[in-house]
Amino acid sequence: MGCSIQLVRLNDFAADIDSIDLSANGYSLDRDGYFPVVAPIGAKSVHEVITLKLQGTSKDDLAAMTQEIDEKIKQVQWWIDDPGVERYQVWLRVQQENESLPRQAQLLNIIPPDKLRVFVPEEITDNYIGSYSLGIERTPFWEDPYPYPTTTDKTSINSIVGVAQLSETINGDVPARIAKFSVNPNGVGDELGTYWAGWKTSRFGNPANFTPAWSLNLAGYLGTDTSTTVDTSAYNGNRITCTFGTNATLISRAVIALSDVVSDSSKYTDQRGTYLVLLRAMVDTNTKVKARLLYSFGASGVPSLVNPAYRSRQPIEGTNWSYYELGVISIPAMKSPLSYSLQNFAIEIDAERTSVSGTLYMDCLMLIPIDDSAIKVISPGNIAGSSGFLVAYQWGDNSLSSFVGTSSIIITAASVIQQGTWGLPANNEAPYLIIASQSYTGGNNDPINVKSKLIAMSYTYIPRWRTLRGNVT
Amino acid sequence: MSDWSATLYNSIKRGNAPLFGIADRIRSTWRRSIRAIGGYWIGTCEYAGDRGELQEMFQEGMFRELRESVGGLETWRGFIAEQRLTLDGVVYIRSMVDQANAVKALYTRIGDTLLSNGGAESGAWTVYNGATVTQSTAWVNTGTYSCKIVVADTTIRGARISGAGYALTIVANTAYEITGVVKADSGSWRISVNRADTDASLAHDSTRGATGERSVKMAIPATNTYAGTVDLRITSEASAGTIYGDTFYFGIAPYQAQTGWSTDTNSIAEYGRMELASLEVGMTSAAANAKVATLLKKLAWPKVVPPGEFTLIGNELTGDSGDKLELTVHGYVHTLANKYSLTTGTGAASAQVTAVLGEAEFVTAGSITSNTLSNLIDTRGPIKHWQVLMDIANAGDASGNRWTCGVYNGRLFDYGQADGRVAYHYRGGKFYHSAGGELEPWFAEPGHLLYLDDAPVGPTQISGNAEDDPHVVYISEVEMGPATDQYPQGTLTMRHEAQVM
Repeated sequence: MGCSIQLVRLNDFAADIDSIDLSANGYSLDRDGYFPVVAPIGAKSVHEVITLKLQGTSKDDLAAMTQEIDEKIKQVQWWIDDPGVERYQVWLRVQQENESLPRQAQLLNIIPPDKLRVFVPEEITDNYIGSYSLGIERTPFWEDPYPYPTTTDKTSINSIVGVAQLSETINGDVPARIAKFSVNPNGVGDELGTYWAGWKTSRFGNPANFTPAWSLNLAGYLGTDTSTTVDTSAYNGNRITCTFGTNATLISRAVIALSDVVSDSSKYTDQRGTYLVLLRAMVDTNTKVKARLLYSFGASGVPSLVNPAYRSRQPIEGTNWSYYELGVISIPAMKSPLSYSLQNFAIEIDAERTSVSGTLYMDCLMLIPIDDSAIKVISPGNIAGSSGFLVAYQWGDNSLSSFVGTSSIIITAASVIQQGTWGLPANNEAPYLIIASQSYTGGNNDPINVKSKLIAMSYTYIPRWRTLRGNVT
Repeated sequence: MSDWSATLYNSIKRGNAPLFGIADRIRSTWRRSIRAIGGYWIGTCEYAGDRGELQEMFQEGMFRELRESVGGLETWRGFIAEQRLTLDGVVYIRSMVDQANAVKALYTRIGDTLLSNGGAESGAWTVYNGATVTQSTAWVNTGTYSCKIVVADTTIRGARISGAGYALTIVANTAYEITGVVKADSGSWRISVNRADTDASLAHDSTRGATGERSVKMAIPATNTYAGTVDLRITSEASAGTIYGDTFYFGIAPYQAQTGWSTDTNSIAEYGRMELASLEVGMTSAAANAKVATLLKKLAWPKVVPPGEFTLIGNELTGDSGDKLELTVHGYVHTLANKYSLTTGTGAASAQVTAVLGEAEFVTAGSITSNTLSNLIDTRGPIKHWQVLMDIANAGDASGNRWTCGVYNGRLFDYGQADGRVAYHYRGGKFYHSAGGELEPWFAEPGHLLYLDDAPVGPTQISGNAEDDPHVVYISEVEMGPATDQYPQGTLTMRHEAQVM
């Protein structure tokens, strides 16, 4: 087949509304009429020029052709004027001659030609416009047009250490757009309020060997006033308890090394990555505690780390198990030769009590990978049962919107998104979703994470390419 | 900006009736800001029109009101405070910024010297008890001569600076100041003011045997009850020696004075009362009043300021195509700098806000939240309404909370505690409101918190103050800019207080 260039009006998840084929029906590319830009690294858009030749059957037909293009220009302006309200966008869909599959990019702006060659004698006679140039600004990457690849929902994902490998191999040479990412309570009795989600791939090691949860009862060192207690509500049935009985100041309460949680030395290197660390913890009523994370290298059993990187203190005041964000770390803590073992990478948890009395209970550290994008979505209220969904949409221009929806596809509330970059790593493999979630309880919407609660996830992704697509699906 | 509009109104003093819509004239250049302390702050634009329209606006448009609204809701209001008109390449300026139509002076009154020969210029001082007293050029502080006094023995001798006898007349309950300069070569010397009836000193100083130059400064306090004649003399202190004296002054001590208000009633009728209390140096009452009259004549009206220089202008700058009119529009909060506060002393912050607003001409109290914080309005010098209000707002409250204030819709002044609410999010280079949609720039308000969604998720704050969370920024100012191709509703900038001067 010949090459194809179209301007298509559409919205995600639906067939085309209308289109113009700029490679047929009198439209054609001028010589060297289109040089697609290869998006530079980090580009949010690219600018290109498309120069067409218009061959009409009459003057009026020529006018109708230009009006068709004008209509698309107007439709792009509609979207620019109010992208929140406008239903559709205009996309540039292209396909090389004999390229198996088309690809498209959203038009962010379109500049009409500033003049036309309509009074050139030869061209007047031939009903012809020899050079019609459009300036366009489009999203930097090419996408797979609708219909999108089918995906398999993931169910019964643990809210405390959620790991689910996608069933699909994600193709493309840049991260795929996650057009829809929906998380909901798995069933009756399950609840959802907030989730943190990230992706693990083979970029740093074997993702199947990744240990996202570090139970603190396994720590090689437990500090002053800190001991292990059996607790079935804890992740592995054990928690650590810090009474502050002899020392309530900010000192080391636990130091946990990588080797404490990963027993197979061949899997140490698979733990590489950058992570948001969540601490699952709670305190007694009216107790106010502040905890902080430090990380560096330190053999298992050392009471405190030497020359660690510090993170800020985080207040811990909830009386239910819930997650507290302690900051971002990287494993290893510095550039390390691959030949060296990471077994002594360690995290230290310091804690202090600022109230008169009370105990701190700590369960585990949850590591959410953020190298290949991550997201945190916060619902304004508790979502109970299986009828509510906490959804994040990623639009063609990469903007995000999030809301609480129902199974009847009704939006019930706006939710909050944090963490700026979101996308599905496309390394020609099936990534692992690493997710932690919690819900709310009580009249104050206090956060709570219950070990037995489960969540489910469904998603729609759209593969992307920087340059050409070929026959990749 | 399809539902955005801007309308020009007559000035408040001229009735404040609507004139005409100006959205098309200013849309492409209109920029305006709102501050958490201040409210509607400043707007600028280029006013499009033909030469006649530009000239009419330049001539008659000072203090006209501009109102911005969206869907009927007022989103900004101010008055034209400054205009820059370019005609044929020449720029003319009219401004209300330094205008004053009620002027008074705060100055220092200094009395004339009672001495006729304090510098020994017209002759040597009068001999006292046989000292050798001569004019001298050997050491001079001012003029051509000083006076040299030589005493050869231990008898108290010297010179009367004030002339023979007790030649100076003073009144009771009036402060006097006596100054001069001496240079003692040897001996110890006393400088004194002495009453004619008892020869007791009303004021004195001494070199205490020290040699070299010395400034003399003495005072007769206002509590002095003696009225009559006195002298001013330098005498040896029972030792031989030589001293030079020059530049002596004896007069009523300086005191603070104020003129009355001089006003231009016609200007006040056009622009409202705009006060200036000019701080001056020492001068006579006549001079102070003259200065007031001069300032009033100079500042009462927004005169046209021509360019500082005139030069050759090429053809490309002449003609209508180069003409333009740039407007600076001030929010009505700026009128709170028109007058000095009559409310003084100590009181509850919110009560003082209400009292000060009661004195304002163009602004009235809107929503005033109670704040019992004890506040002092300093009465040692004149202080404008806006300075008082700004200081009160910046002081906050006893709990350390932020308070905001400003003039908003309807020229109403609101004063209240900042709500501490995360009202906006900043993500991917765009602003979003709480409901998740993109924030329309004309609805953005300062005084709220902005959450940086793209910042790494991590620890919040341990202080209990949401602003201490590294993801959260307090917004002191928002600025909406002109519509662009990329942002047809206009651009939006939010500033933290560190950037707001």
